[in-house]
Amino acid sequence: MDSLEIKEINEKIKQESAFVDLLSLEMNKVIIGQKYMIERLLIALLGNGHILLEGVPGLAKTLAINTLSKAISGKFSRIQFTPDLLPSDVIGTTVYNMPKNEFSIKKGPIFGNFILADEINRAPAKVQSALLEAMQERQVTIGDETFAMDEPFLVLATQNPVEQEGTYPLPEAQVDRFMLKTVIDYPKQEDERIIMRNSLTDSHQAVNAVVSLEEIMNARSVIKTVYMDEKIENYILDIIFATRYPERFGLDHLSALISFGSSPRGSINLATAAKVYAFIKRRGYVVPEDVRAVCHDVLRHRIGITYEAEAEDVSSEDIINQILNKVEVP
Amino acid sequence: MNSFLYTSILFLSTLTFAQTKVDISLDTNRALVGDVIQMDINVNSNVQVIWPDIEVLIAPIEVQSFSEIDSVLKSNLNRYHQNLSIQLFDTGDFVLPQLPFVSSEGDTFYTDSLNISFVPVLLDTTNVVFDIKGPEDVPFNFSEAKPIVYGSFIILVLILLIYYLIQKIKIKKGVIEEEIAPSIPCEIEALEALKNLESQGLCEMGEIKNHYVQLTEILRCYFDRQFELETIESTTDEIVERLRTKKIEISLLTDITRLLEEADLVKFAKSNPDNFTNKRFMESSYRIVECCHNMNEEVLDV
Repeated sequence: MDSLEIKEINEKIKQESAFVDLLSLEMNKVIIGQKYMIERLLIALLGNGHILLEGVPGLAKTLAINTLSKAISGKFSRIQFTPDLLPSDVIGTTVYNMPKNEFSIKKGPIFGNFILADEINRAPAKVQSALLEAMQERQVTIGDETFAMDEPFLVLATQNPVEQEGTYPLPEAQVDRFMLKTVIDYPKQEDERIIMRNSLTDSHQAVNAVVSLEEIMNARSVIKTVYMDEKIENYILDIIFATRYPERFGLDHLSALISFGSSPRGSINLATAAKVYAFIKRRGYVVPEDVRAVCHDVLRHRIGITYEAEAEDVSSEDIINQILNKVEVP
Repeated sequence: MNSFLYTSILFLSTLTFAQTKVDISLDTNRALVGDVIQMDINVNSNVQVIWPDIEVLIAPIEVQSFSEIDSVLKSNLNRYHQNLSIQLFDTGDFVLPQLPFVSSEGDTFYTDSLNISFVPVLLDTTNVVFDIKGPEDVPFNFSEAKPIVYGSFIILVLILLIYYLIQKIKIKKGVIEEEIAPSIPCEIEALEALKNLESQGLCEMGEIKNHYVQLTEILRCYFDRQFELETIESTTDEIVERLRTKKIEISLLTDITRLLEEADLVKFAKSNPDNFTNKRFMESSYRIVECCHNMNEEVLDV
């Protein structure tokens, strides 16, 4: 790949990424003050991944994915995870058809483009497992038949950081399947004023479908062509390896705080997310800034912290910060 | 016959009525002041007997210790016994009063009263009067001194260890400081490195990427030393943002941004700038170093 090709990619990206602004504008009609969340949703969508959102109730998590599905004219499903939910409630089941005297398949809500798994940690492990398996394999087997999931297939799972009683925290292996884990904070005061006014005057604007599913699929294929230099690859690998062997990067003190580092899925997702970020920023190549911009969301849930770290009030966020401040930028 | 009858009646009466006998004895009736006298009380009775409060009754004589009341039942006769150790810290003749023992039938039986003499210690005035002896020295015992000896040893070892570690850290720091702070000033080092890079002619050899990697490294090292910024671990945006806080002239900051961004394009996007551009950025690099140095000097002068 030479510089001419990169210029071509740049041109192509400028054309293909035009919808990003349109989509953001459309979503911003309804979602106020959650620019960061919208950007992360787009990264997961274009990176062919899934996203785990953590935030207190009322931060427009459901509204965001609903709006996204409307703006892309996709099929939206919402599954409220509860302790009595069964895997068949998510993926579907076979139902006896009396007139035909046969079993017919009743597909579950997972068959959609945009799935909101609300409060995923409220359902038992078998339900979480059913969903996460569908997320990973992108296919579901009901009875004897296997069904491929619709594309694009984006699962947005939410977790409430408070009220942990009676919940089933997602195991590390399951959490690893989410491309991003984004922590959402409260909107700014000015943004909340607008939300409040809009709500009081009932002046929410209607969301129009501005992007087609084909455009999303095209964008995904263009993103694959975004150039990533070997130096950037090394930078990503350095960050990932620093989570596993911090002592090799002069971060000896982190060894006692990290119980396990990022898996190879971490490096794959970090590279993919960096490419998508570059695409969103209309660039045909990845720069270290792109890696840094998505690093926290990609690695946050992939670094296990020890009891010692918990006792010292050190979070995986702090560990990532220390790693980024230590690993040399190319 | 009559006398035999009376004797028989008297003898029978002794069998039918309560038989209680109380007895008290001392091991001595004369003792030195403070000496302990053993007092034994024996009660033999075919009925139950209530024991008096001896301590109160014999006051001012003090009871130092007393045994439990020992009772033995033998041939329908209860035998009670108690031993008391008594003493008095006074001199003179004292009377141990009669002690009343009340039987369960309501009869009271008394012990005999006894005389006790408590005499003072006789002073030997014939001998010389000596000074009061001081306390005797306790002989040295190693087992008692063990904790102190071992504790002192551990503290000594710890002090030596801490001293050793401090010395080691000092040596290490010294080495690092030597590495970090070379004698040549940062601007001279940067200018020399730029001259060296230029002399290598990497661009002419087609190694443009390598040229820009080295060029940015020289500049980042220079910014790191000149402005004490962590530029080695920072991205272009972060470097520019940090330099902005150092109040660098806008035109100079624009030049730095342009250069770093172009270098990023070469490094990460396979950009291939022409010779003219390369030369222009090389000249720009010299100017950036000189201007930054002059600016810093001016700030220091002020």
